[in-house]
Amino acid sequence: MRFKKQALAWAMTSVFAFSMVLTGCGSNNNKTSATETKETASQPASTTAAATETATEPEPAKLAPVELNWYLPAAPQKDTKLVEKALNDYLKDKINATVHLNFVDWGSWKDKFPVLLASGSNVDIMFTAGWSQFPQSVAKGYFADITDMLPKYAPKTVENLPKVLFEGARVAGKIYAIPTSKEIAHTNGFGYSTELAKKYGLEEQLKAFQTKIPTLEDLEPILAAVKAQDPNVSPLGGVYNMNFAMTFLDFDPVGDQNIPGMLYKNKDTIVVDEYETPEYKAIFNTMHKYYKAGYIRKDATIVKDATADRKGKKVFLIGGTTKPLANEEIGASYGYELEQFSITTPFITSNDTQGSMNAVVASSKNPERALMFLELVNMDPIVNNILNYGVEGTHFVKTDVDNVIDFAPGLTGQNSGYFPNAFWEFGNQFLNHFLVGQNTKKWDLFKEYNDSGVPSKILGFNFDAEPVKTEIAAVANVRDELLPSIATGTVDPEIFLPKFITRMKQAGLDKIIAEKQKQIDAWLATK
Amino acid sequence: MLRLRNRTKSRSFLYELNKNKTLFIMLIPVLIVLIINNYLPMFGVILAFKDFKMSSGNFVTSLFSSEWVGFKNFEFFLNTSYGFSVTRNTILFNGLFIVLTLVTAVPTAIMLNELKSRKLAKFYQTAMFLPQFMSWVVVSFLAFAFFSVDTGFINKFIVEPLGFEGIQWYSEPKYWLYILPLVTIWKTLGFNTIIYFAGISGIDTELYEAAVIDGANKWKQAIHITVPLLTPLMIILTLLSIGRIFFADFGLFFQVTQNSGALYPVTLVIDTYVFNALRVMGDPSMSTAVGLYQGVVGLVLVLGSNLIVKKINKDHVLF
Amino acid sequence: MTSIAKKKSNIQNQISSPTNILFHLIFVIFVAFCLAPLILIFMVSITNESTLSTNGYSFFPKAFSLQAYQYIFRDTQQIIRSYGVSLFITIAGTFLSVFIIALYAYVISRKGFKYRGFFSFLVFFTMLFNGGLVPTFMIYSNVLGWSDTLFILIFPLLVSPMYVIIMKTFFSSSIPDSLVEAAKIDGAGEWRIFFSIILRLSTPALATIGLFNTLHYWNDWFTALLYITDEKLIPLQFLLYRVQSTLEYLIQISSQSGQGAMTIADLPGQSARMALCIVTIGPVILAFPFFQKYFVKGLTIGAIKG
Repeated sequence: MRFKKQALAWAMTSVFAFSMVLTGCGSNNNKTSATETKETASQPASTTAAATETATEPEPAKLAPVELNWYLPAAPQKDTKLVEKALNDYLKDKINATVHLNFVDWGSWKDKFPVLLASGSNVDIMFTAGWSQFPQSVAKGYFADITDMLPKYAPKTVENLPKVLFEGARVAGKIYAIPTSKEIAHTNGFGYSTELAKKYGLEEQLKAFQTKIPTLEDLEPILAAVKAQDPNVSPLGGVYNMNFAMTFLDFDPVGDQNIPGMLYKNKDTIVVDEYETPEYKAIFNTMHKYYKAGYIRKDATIVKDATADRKGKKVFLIGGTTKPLANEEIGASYGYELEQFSITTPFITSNDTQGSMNAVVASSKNPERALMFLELVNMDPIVNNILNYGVEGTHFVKTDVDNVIDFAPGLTGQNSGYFPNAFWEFGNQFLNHFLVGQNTKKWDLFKEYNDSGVPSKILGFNFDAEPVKTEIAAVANVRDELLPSIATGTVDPEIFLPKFITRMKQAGLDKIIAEKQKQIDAWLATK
Repeated sequence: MLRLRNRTKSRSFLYELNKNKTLFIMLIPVLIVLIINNYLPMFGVILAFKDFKMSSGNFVTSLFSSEWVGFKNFEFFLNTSYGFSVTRNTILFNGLFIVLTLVTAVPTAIMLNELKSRKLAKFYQTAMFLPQFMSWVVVSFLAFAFFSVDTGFINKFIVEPLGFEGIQWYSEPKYWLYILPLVTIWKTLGFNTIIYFAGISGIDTELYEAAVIDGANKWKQAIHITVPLLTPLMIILTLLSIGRIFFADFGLFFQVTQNSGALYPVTLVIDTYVFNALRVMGDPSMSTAVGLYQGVVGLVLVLGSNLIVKKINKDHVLF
Repeated sequence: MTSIAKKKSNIQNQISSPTNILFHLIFVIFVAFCLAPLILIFMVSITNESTLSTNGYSFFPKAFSLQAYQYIFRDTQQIIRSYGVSLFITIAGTFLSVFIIALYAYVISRKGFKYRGFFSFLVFFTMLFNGGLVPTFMIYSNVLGWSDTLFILIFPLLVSPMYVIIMKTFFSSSIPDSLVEAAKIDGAGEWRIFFSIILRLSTPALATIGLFNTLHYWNDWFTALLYITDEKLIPLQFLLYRVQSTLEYLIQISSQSGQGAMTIADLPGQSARMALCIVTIGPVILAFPFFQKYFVKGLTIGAIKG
């Protein structure tokens, strides 16, 4: 059980370009100045004090007892009941609420949460995210509009979380969720085995990419060298749905990446059909050249999971996101040393800010109390750490160093009765205690990384897909049919790209783009 | 006139109820399950004609107060360039599966029944049933081990040693016209054989003994006794499959083909089309609409075939 | 009919030896196609994951590893409990289901029963139409409040329309109406006819439907996904499903969110999924002979009559 939990959470972290070390290091990162709470003896000073104040603000005597149901995707924990009890004992004096933590395992999440929401089941707080149908859920009316209630019931959260994060939680100007404070920007790039790089004598060339961002064309000498020296290694790998045009050009996706119609990165607010841009075509042409040269595996269009090949060092350049230290963490899990370089500059889109949020469900009978609880989750270190580490003495113990904890004697992240390892779901991460052995350099790097991120021109805009859902459904199949072979270079884009564009237009692409443009223009007009 | 007929109808129903009280009581347990599990939730089909919005804390009231949108939720699959090919693929593959199942399962059951060694027969039966347990994901891995361009068994050990270039199995639709039926038969034969085998077991052995006395050989017995007595079962199972002809086996068409876009002209069926289409939006109204459409087509086809069966032999009808 | 006479006639009434050999040959070939993949699955499940990625699937892997099984069985307590839950719902569900299906199917198989067409249709209709997930969930969870009970794992699967109709067909094609009429004349009540004639004459049919129901219950994970949150009530299949689906979901998310797949490294690979397949099949293979013994030849209606 433990192994799985840890593994899952680990995978999720990487997916959302998150950070946490395999051995279960607690993690936190934030744009704000919280990073000084690291291993030094200093208390998470001001925040803690502030949080305690907030928590005592409402008069507990006046509050009638309520029950709150919180649903989150995470591996179910053996000692959840125990932790709930500790949490609720603490909450009683603060907000007089009994909170139930409902962990839904990852595999069931996508089936279960829509049913819970639609059936009007007893849910008060629901985890949500851009990748977990946040905009659709808002459109369906599942989540409560908390714009007006926020300042009243969660004032410190509003004050402390980076403003840019709240932009992602807005739909049509209203706020529908409280985002988790997490890394905000993204960069795309590649990782590679240092051992292989040395073997092929490519170290210098690859190092150069760290200072000068390469284009796809710039990679050719590398790929050619790998191909020439080791025919068993696929120089560029290639995976189903890995659209290098998208990763190199880093277009602003205007919401869900699977819905076509995008903006050039930081240029203007005109929605274009990305497949008709010369930049896309150039990349597809290069990909086709690479495919013919054998840099890309022949079955790239259907390989969905290349993990095994990557672990087995059968792929040289491994595509992905390149947050700081990602190479170390992923390298550790692959079992060899990885180095990385970026192919884009840090960029912040709504997708990045919507990575992890918690919404108050519209049918909740106690939205105020739910917000008061979320306020504690985001601002009260005691609540936050119970959620992340469980009960002190049972699951974790304090160490001599202030704010650094260890698992209780005999326990590890793998056999502890409570270690969801989902720090990024439980509100403000910088309230987390640190686990012994955690890399402390990381947060400075992250802060720097986040600060360097350039926000999208339409950050805070959420596309309402309802008016064109028929067209979206239609283009999805055209895309699935033709794009994988074009994007992986398997077929000649000179022939297939025009065909693809025609088919997309037949399926209603133009209507989607017009709708996106219309909504963006309307949104810009209100700003 | 009408009222009169109604009255006699209801009177005769009460009469039947009274006469066959026990029989009606025997129906009750299943009826309870059907009502709770199937008929009570059936109101949900109106979701297909609504633009669902959660307006209160309750699904039912929200559903009824949601806006009627007519057939808008059906458009995404009826109104596309895929409409024809998807319908054709679904019906032709399923039709083929129905025929293939009939012509393989019945002879297999008869052969199994005739084997002299009962022990071996049981062993074969068990072994044939095994593929049924392999999830489509596992089957897709096995298929990939066979058909992979670089490492697949077929290319590595058959095609390339013969001096040909490796076949791109996952981008050549024509091969899948054969692969998919083969995989289906391989996976379901054991299951279908058991039904017919049980049917044969239920045949009165006196019939065969009488045939032996009349000098009929095994072949004649099979043709004149076994097959005719299995006919009702064959007809019913075929009718049931016809009802499901618009429902494709998602795992087969999605997992086993690795959802390869290049194969879509042949392998895209309703269920995979809808899956791709709704992956982005996850709209419950649209998926309900598809289910309703599939059901209606199935119902029409079954009612039609049932009528034909009725004309030929009244005893073999589904209802 | 005495048993000696029966044996004798069986001896006379057999296929010729060459035909017998030919049949065996056909079966051996087909069975090889069914067993070989299973053996391959087993071998892959004990193959070292990195060997898999370098050498691919093989019947004779270079390096063995039990990691996949360790991964699946890492929480033995939970596995044992889940086995218990699965066994209970499978056994209880199968018996209950076969019983009520047989009752219903018997009634609609009676040619004298006026509403047989209507009640057949009532069952068949549910095969084509359903109200969808949300209304069903609402009724079970919000109205009836059956979430997190063992009962909810049994109830929704009790009636499969297809099994009802197959059972009905068995009854109507292998039990002559005259038998029922004769019993009636002898003064037997409907219940007595059902228990002492119908059920006795239909063991192959009951065994078939019983077998299918067993599989149905044993393989079901979706009911648990929707209604069970209490870890104590989780059936085995759902436990195993989680392992597999989690990986697939994560792959999908990573490709959708465009973050690339520099991820998912420590999740179980193919070997674990093969191991899941083996773990699932095991108990069912053991249950198979139990049902097979009811597929006996030589049930004679005459014997019952006399």
